[in-house]
Amino acid sequence: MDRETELDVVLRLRAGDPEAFEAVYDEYRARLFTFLARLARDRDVAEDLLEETWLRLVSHAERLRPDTRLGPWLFAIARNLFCSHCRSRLLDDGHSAGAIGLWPAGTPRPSPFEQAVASDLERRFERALAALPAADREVLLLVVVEGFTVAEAAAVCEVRQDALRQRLSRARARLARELGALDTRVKSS
Amino acid sequence: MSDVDVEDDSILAALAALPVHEADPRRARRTRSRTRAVLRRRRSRRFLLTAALRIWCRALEPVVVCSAGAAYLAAVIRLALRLYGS
Repeated sequence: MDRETELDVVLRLRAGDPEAFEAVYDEYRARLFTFLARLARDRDVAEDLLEETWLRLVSHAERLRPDTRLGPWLFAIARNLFCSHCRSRLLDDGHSAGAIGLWPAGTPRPSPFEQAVASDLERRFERALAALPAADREVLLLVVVEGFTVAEAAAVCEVRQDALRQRLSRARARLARELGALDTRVKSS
Repeated sequence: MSDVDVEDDSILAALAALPVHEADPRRARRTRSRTRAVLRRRRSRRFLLTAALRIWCRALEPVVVCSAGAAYLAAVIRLALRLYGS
């Protein structure tokens, strides 16, 4: 969606036009779902959060600024919903309030897409990505997979641009280490 | 478009090439119908609000006109009395 179309869609969304919503839905549904599923490592959670993201869009549509960039806006909503989900899961798990951080600790789970991928290369990358901490995963997903600029990704993650660049470099190094570790495990087995 | 050079980095390039996936079609249909319902409710609420506001303005219009007319007349009479009064 080019910028001119996007501005027009935002205006129509503000007016409550269902066709504008359909255009945004078609453009972002698979991208948002893939982002959420890789972030949450759980299809069901991703589908719940995706539905909530769309409901947030339609209920906040009238208050969108005319120059809103829909991609970063939607990914920020999806990411914030995932953070809230993590916090509520920590509470459900009986952790003390003081232990609540942004991202839950825990043993890495496999990516929901590992079974579905076509090639070994994709499977390796899905597995290595799933093994990273969520804070690293989100940066890689936003900048590398989604192609957001550093400024846009920093706005989505609510951090400064230099902090995001550091996170990106750290995440890339961790991903390389995970891929190396995976190769070592495959060779030794 | 990202300002990070992905092409020159084989790891990042492979990551960028990972495919996108679709959500469960049944869930997608449910999401669509729920969001449509929200949009419909918002549109009908806006329609009702606009209609109510229009009716209220129409009802108030004669009162406003009469008040403005009376105020104008009073001002003219006051001016006339000041100019030509004893």
